[in-house]
Amino acid sequence: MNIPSRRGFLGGVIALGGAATLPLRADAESVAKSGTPAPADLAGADTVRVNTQVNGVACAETVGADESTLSLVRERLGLTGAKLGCGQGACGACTVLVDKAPACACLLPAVALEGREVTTIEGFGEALHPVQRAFMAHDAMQCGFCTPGFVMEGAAFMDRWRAAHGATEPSDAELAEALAGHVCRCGAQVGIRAAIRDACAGRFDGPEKEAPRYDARAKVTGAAKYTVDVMLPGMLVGKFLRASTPHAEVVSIDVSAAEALPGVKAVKTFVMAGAPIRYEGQALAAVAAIDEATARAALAAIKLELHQRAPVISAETALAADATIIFPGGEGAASASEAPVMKAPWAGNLRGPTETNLLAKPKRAAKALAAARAGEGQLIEARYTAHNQAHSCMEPHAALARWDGDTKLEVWLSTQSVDDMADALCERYGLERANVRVRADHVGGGFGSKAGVDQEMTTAVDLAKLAGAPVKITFERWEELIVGGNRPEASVNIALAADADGNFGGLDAEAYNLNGAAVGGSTGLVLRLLYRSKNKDVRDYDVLTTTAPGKPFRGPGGPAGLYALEQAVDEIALKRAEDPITLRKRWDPNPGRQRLYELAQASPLWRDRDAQRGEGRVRRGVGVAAAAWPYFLSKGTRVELIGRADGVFVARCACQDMGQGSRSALSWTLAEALGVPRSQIEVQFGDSDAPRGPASAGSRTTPSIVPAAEDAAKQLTEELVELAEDLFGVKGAVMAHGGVDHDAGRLTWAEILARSGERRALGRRRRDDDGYYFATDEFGWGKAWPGAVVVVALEVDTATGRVRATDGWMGLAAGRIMAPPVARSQGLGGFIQGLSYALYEERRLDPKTGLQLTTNLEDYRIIGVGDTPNLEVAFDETPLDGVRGGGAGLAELATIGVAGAVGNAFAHATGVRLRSIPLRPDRVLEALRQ
Amino acid sequence: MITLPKDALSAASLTGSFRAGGTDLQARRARGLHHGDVIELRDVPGLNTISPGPTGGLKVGALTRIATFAHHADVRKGYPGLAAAAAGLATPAIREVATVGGNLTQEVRCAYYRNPNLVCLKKGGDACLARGGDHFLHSCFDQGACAAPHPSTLALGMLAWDAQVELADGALLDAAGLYGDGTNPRTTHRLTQGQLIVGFNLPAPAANERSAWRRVSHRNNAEWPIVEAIVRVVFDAAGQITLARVALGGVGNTPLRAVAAEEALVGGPLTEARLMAAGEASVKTASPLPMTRWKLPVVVTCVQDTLRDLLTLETP
Repeated sequence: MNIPSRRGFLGGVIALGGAATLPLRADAESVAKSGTPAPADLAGADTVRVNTQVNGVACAETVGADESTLSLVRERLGLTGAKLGCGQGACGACTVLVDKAPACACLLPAVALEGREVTTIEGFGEALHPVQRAFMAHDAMQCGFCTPGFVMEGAAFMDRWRAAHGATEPSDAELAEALAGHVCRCGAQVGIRAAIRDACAGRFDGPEKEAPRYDARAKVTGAAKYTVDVMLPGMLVGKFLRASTPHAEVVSIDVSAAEALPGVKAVKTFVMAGAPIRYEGQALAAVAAIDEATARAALAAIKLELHQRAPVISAETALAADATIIFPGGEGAASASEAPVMKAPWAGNLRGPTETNLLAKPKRAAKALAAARAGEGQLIEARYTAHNQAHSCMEPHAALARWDGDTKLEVWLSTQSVDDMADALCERYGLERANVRVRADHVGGGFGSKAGVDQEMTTAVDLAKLAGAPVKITFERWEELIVGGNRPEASVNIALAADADGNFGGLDAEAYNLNGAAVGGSTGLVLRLLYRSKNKDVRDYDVLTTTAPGKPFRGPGGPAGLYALEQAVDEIALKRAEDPITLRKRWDPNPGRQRLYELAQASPLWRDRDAQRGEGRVRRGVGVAAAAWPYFLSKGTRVELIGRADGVFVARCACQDMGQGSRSALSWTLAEALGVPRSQIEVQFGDSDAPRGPASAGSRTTPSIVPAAEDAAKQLTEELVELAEDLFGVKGAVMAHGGVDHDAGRLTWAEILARSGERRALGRRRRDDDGYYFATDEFGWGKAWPGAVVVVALEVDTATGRVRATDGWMGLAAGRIMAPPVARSQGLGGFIQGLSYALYEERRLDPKTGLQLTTNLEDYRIIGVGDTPNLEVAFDETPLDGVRGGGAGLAELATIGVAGAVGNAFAHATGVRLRSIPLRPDRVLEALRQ
Repeated sequence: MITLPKDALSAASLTGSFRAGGTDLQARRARGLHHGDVIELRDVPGLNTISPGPTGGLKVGALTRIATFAHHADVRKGYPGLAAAAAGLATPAIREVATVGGNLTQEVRCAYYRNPNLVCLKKGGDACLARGGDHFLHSCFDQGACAAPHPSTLALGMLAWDAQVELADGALLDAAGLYGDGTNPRTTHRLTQGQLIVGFNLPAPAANERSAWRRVSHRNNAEWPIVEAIVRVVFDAAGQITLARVALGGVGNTPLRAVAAEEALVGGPLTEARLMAAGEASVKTASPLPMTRWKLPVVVTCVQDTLRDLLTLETP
């Protein structure tokens, strides 16, 4: 861990972006050139003077034994393009070049830089490296947090490649190997691979082109600022003391020694004697101190006495007759859901069933199943199990709070909702809305884990108040993996029947959601979304365990629920010896998916699937799955559009872009609505001072902001048409592309605005024509049903148990697509995340202590570039009826169906149905052996 | 505290932990798994070169970076299996910083060891929790109380070529001398305070030999092995195998030779039947833990695939 000195933090306050502003010391250059090592002797010292060059400028710093190169460039020099991702050399977010070779700056001691040259992403300058231009053109990014690291590695690789091979294309395997040290959580691997390949081949040696993504340039240059990058004068480091045991009772907690440590400015406790500890990582106390080392020392000085209790980590132990009850009386459990938690009975650690049978026809389902059990039609009864997945955003949860007196509060937060968080802070601290500002210029991924009021925010605010100074809390990777958020493990017992005619007969499903210390699992509910009007009896149960509370994760319940349902449907099709797509076409009334089924069935991938299975060691299989997700929106969304006198249109909304491309959705649609190039659109997000914006949760950002922005554009252009007549005295002015046509010619918006001066309009997210299933003032559940169909091809090495996805196709029918290249990236990202979930990721716990074993990005496996297959995303852009703006969001739809398709592809390849994921080699071999 | 010795002998006289590239040490220090003084080897000269050994072979300085070693023409020519292993371990950015000496002496990757809240024999604890816990990626040749597989890939090269490490005081250790037999669960190597590796000495390759490396891992790249193998086969003029080495990583608490597999190879030509038999023999002495039996067929396959690679190499 980087242990910057207090001086280090102060030094980082001024962002030293350009070479000219780097500190240049007289002695540095001569020492570096002469090769004389910095003074140090065998007696040892606490610090060493290091002379190095950073981005071409000499730099002399006194560093400790453990200070990292990353700390030096970020904290001391303010070069924040390189990020701390995992702290272990596994993710590559910190990559810099040392003597032109890539290195993990988080592990490289600054001491080692003596006489060497460091290049950070900022050192590439404004001209841009071809790899940067290629990343922009290929949209090889989403949240952008990992992008500088990928670019550094890619640039170093390209330079070496060109020197050895000229302007030729490296193979996928060579690219995979070159990028092996990098993790992209959003799933931009396809674009990244293509970008570096094309840069190597010389296709980006020419001038920079406009990127489809609004903030691509900021991301490839490292200029994009995330919460972790914000540094304020006098800022303190906040840290949590977290439970290192999953289940206990606090006997005593004594923070006096921590408070007495020099440099400790505030201490806060969350538990007192008698309080329960219900999961590893539960926050017990927090400190604010002048630097990281002091904060750690303070945590170590807290005296804690616990009465240990038995961990409860599996459904078996949780439901055993003698199980320790984690929430006696069912009081106090958090919610793993973003929807309101429905009432349900408790029985020990079991909560449920949650009724989800409104209009589901459970009696008819039971009748159909009884008929099938009596031999009519086909029946499948099975249990499907999906594991626990960590959100593991590349930017960890982070909050920086600054008070101005007792009434004004400013918070920088890695959040999915600046607006909701500002509301929450007002309520919690009794502040005026005008005096609270929440900011998130860039957000390094969220996936649902940053949508709520979380402890890092409230604690940073509390500590800042206590300390009288700004406090920043940044999760370490182990914290992110343990308590940063997870998708609950789930088991689904399914009975599914087809009637004698091969129609959908009935479904009975019982889902057990292992949400950890939380309730509100919704895996079963998801089974209502597909084959929507059919006969079903669906029940959800929560099984409480002593693990970190689950959080909403990109389609909560979706991947596990559809993994179960879509495999069961596949099994019925197999029993009927029927093409699984043909069966779905009969069962699934959704018009969007009907069109996608046609496309999928016609694709060579599907058509040739039986011919390519193979009988040897490596088997190849192709599987399909369907996906459905509701369409949500934030009704209260407002977008302000400002036509500036210089002809630039500025859109303002208290929205945020965590990588999904919400800024781009506005820049594309506004450019179209106004008839101006995208370069004339400026999108200002990430600030709660702007007009009401949506939370980026429930796939509702785009269908909320785009109609509001188009409404603003309509108002503003109507005003400009009138102004054209008033100010220029023209007659017959009518709106035209980029301005107005009038009897005597044409005026551009810029010409009108130059004369009129700045003009503003506030757009509203107007009501959908068909109304809503459910709505509040802010929230709406619209009456459209976007759909997806996923096809996955994979190979199974029956000798090693390795499963490798080779190809994939995803059709998305979500209506109008606002910014196609960026939407494609989101589709690919969902696809890749789904593959990662089905094939590699898995939280693992020690069965005895209940402690989490996957606490770093080496043990917690996220899909790499080398595991990412060829993928294709197709959009069916038939507008969704009744949806204002014509399109719904894609985020969740694009990921929830993938695991089911993987499961079906595995069964197709091997003839063996594996009803649990991930498809680990040990599990695969075991299944094949039987 | 940090010291920066200017030569290997003074480095060896200091108390603390040697730091070469620091890629493993710094990760452990950041998680509170390692404390104490650092002996920074940055200024120790002459240890980052690869030069011919006195009796043929190569003398590789301990501070040679993995990337340099992997791409060195003499390494690639004489020891292709080892060069491939070096080029395929970790990630490009790690290989640019990590050193040969560091690779040989790094710590185990076991999640129990790496988690500061869990007891582990290597951290002074009284039990190996992995053994009774989650160990599906651990050893399947159970040598001692520590269930974790040895992490060093280059150590397989020591077994395949009878290489030795040279210490600052001139002492030479072979793999057995450096790693022992896996019965001591407390350490990943047998070096004691003051024993500094300065070189990795590779004997000259035989006149007619082939070698190859393969790793099986869950994901394609940058993952610690389920199993990895370096195989080296020496042929006589008639194409008969006169010497074979099958070195296995990821399966035991030390790097391991599959002696039965070697015996199955010697005495005939390298054929499909012979390599299949050698693969089967490679797990003859395996002693899997409850959760690692599944690894055995993977080891067999890995050995067979690696040997099969030798068939497609050009005749040396």
